[in-house]
Amino acid sequence: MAGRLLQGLLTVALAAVLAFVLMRLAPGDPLAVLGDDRPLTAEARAQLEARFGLDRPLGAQFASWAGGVARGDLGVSIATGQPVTRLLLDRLPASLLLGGVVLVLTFGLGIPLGVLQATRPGSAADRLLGGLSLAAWAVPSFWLGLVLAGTFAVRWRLLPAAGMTDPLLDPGAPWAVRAADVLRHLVLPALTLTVVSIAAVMRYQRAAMLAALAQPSVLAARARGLPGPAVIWRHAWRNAIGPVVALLGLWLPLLVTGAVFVEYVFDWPGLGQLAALAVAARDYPVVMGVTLLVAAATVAGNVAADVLHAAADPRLRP
Amino acid sequence: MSRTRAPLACARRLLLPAAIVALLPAGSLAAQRTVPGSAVIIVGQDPVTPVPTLTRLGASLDVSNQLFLRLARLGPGLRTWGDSGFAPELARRWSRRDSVTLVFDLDSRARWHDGRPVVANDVVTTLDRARIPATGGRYASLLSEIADVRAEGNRRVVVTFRRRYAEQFYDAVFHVPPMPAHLVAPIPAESLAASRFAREPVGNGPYRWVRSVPGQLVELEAVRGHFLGTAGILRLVFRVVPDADARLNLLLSGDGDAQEAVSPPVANLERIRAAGHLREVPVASGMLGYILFNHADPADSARARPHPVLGDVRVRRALVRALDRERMVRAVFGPYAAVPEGPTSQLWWIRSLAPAAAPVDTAAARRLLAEAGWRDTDGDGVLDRAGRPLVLRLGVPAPSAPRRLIALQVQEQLRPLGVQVDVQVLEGSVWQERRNRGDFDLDFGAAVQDPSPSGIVNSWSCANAGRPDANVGRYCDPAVDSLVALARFSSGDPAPYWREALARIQADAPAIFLYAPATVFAVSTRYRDATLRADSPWADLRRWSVDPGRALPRDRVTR
Repeated sequence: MAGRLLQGLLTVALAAVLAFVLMRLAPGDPLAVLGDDRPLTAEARAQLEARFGLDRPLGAQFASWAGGVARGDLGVSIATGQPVTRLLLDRLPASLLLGGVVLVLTFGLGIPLGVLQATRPGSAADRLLGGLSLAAWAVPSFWLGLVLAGTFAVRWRLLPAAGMTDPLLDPGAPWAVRAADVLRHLVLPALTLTVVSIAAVMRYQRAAMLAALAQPSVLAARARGLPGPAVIWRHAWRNAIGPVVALLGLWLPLLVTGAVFVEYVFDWPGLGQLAALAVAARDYPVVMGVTLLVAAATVAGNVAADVLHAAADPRLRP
Repeated sequence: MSRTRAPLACARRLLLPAAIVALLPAGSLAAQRTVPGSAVIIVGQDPVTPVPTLTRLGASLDVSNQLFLRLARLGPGLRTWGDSGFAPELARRWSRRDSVTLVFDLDSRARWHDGRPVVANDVVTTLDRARIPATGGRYASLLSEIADVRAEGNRRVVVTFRRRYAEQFYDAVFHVPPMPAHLVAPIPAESLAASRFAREPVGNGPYRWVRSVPGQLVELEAVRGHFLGTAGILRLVFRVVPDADARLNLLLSGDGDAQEAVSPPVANLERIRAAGHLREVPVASGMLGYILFNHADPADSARARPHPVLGDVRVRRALVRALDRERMVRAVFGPYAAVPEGPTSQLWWIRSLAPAAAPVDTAAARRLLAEAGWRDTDGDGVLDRAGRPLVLRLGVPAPSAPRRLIALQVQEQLRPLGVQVDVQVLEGSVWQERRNRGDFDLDFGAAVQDPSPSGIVNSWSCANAGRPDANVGRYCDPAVDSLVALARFSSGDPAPYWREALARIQADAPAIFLYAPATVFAVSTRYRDATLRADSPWADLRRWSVDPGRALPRDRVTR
C-alpha cells in the first residue's frame, strides 16, 4: 500500500511539473488580461510581475509554488486576485454533483443495457440499442447540449437553460425548495453528458458479457438448471465486470474536472469551466491548482478501480 | 374578554384602510399598482472589481456605475468639451474660477450606503489616488492634466489644471467617480483589489451591494429614499455567463431580462425578434474594428526596418480600396454598424468630420499595386516582386465572432487581386502577445473608445509607436500628432484641426477601418422607460419599472 501511495505521489508530482513547464512554454501573457483598453505602464507591469513572482527564474517560481502546496497554499489567481484554494473549493461541489450524477446514471443504466444486449445478441433490441449508443457516442456534447437547451428551455420552457441555481431564489428559502431548484438545473447537463457517455459502458459491458457467457462455467451453471437471472448476474456478470471497473477508474476524474463544453453550454459553475477560462487567460496558478486536483483524482480513480476489481474478482486478491 | 374584542379590533384595523382606498380616485389607485420589480441582466464577464480606479470596462464597470455616482453625468449628445453637455449628479452645481480652475459644490443630500455623508475629501482622496501612476494605474495618464485637487470645507472641491483645454470638465468628472475616503484611505493602493471594499463595495449610487457569487452573479438592491429618487426596480442581478450561446438561451428562455452586446452573426438578432417578449435596443458604442498594417518588418527584431510590403503607402491604399467594407459589415452586423472613415467609433463627435473615403475600386487597387512593382510573374495567381509573393499573415483573436467572420471575407475579396491573406485564428492571449511583440503583417484589432476623441493619441501617435497595447503597428506621422495637439489644446473651435488630422490619417492608410458598431442590447418588453445610455449603458436602470400587468412572481420578492 505504501508503494502504491508513493507511486501515486510521484505521478501527481510529475503531472504538476509537466503542466508547469508546458504552460510556460505556451505563448500568451497572463498579465494581458489585466490590461483594460489602455496599456499597462512598464512600472505597473513590473509591479504585477513582482507581485505574482513572474519576474523570477522558472525554477524559483516552481519551488515557490511547490513550497506553497506543501503548506496547503495554492497561490493567488492572476486574473481575479482570489486565492486558488478558494476558487477550487467554490467550484468543486458543482463538479462533484454533476460528475456524480452522470457517473451513477452512466454506469447504472449502461451496465444493465450492455448485459441486456449480450443476453440477446443479434436481436432487434440488441441492434436498436447498439445503433442508438453508437449514434450518441458520435454526437458532440456541446451540440447535443445546445439542441436540448433549445428544445426544453427555450422552446418549451420546461427546464432552465443555464446555471446551477435561480439567482433570484431567496437564499433563505427552505432546503427542499433550493434542492428542487438545483435538480431542475441539473437535468439538462446531466442528460447531455449521460447520453454521450453511456455508449462506452454499454459496449464494454456487452463485449465482456458475451465472452463471459461463452465460458464453460456458465454453460455448466445452465446445465445444472440454475434460473436465467442467477446464471447471468451471479456467474457471468461477475466475470464480466473487470473491463467496466477499469473504465470506472478512468472515469472517476470526471467527478472533479466535469466536462468543459457542457459546463460552458449550460453555464454550470464547475471546475471544467474554471480550467478553460484559466487556460485561456494564462492564469498559471489556477491552471496548476486544477492540474493538481485532476492528477490526484486520476490516481485515486486508479486505486479505487483496483480495489473494486479485487472485490469483484477473488482471483485478484492477494 | 380578549376573544370577543379581537375580531372587533381586527375589523376596525381593516375598515380604515379599506375606506381610504375606496375614497381614492381611480388614477391614484392605478399609481399604487406598482411592483417591486426585478431585473436579471446577463453579462459575459465576471464583475470582479466593481470599484472606481480598478476598472474601466465591461461588467465591472456596469456594476460600478450602479454603485457609484459621478460628479456630473454626460448627456446624450456625448459632448465632451466644455460643461454644457453635462448634468448634475453628485455635484449640485459648479463654476469656473479662471481658465485652469473648476469649483464643484457637492449635493448635501448625497450619502454613502453606510449612512455617512459624501464630502469633499472623498473626491480629493479618490482623484489623488487615481492621478499617481503607482496607485492610479492607467487612470494616471487620463488625469495627467490635473495639477491639484483640494477641498474647501466639507462640500466644495477645487480642481486645478496644468493648462487650459477643452476637456477639463470631462476629465474631472467622467473617469473616476468618488469613493468613500473613510473606507478607502486606510487601504494601501496595491491592496485595494484584494480588499473587502473591492469585494463588497460601499457606494453612493441608486443601488447598494447585496452579495456576489464569484463567476456566477452579483446582486444589488435599490436604495430606498435615495436623493435622486428610489429606483423602480428593487432587485438587480448581473448574471455571469461566459458562453455566448448560453447567454442567448438564457435570455430567450425568459430566465434573463436583458443582455448586453448580442453577438453577431445577425441570425442571433433574428432569434430575438422572433421571441416576441424581447426587443432590440441599439446604442452607440465606443467599439472600433480595424485591420492594422504593420509599418515595421516583423523579421527585424529591433523593428527598425520598414515592413517590406506594407511600408509602401501605395500597397496599403490598394488594400483599402479593394475591399467592399459596406458589404462585409452588413453581412455580419446587419443594420447595426457604420463603416467608419477613420479611427472613430460612434461615440466620438468628430466622426462626421472625416472626409468620405474613395469608393471601392479594384481597378484602382490593381494600378496602385502595379505602381509599387507587384505583378504576377509566375502566373500562380499571387502577385510577386523580386521573387517575394504578396502573402500577408492576418492575426485574428478566436473569441471574437465578428472578426473571425470578416477576416474570411477580407481573404476572399483580396484573392482576385492577387493578394494572399493567411488568416491565423489565435487564442486570445496568444494573439495579444503576438501583436504586442509586433509579430504580424495584418492584425485584426478592436478598440473600445472613451467618449473623448483625445484617445486617438493612444493608438495613432508617434509617441506611442511600438508601445504594447497602444500603437503596435508603429504608425507615425508627426503632422497628425501636431494637428491632434492643436485640436486638444487650442482655445478656439477644434473641429478644423480634427478634420485635417482625420484626412491625413485617411491618406496615410495606417489601417483598414472596418466597423463602428452599435452595441445591440436585448431587453424584455415588460419594462417601462427602459432606456440605455451610450456612455454607460445601464446607468439609467433606476428609471426603469416593470409593467404591473406583466409582472413575474420574482418581481414581487423583496428582501
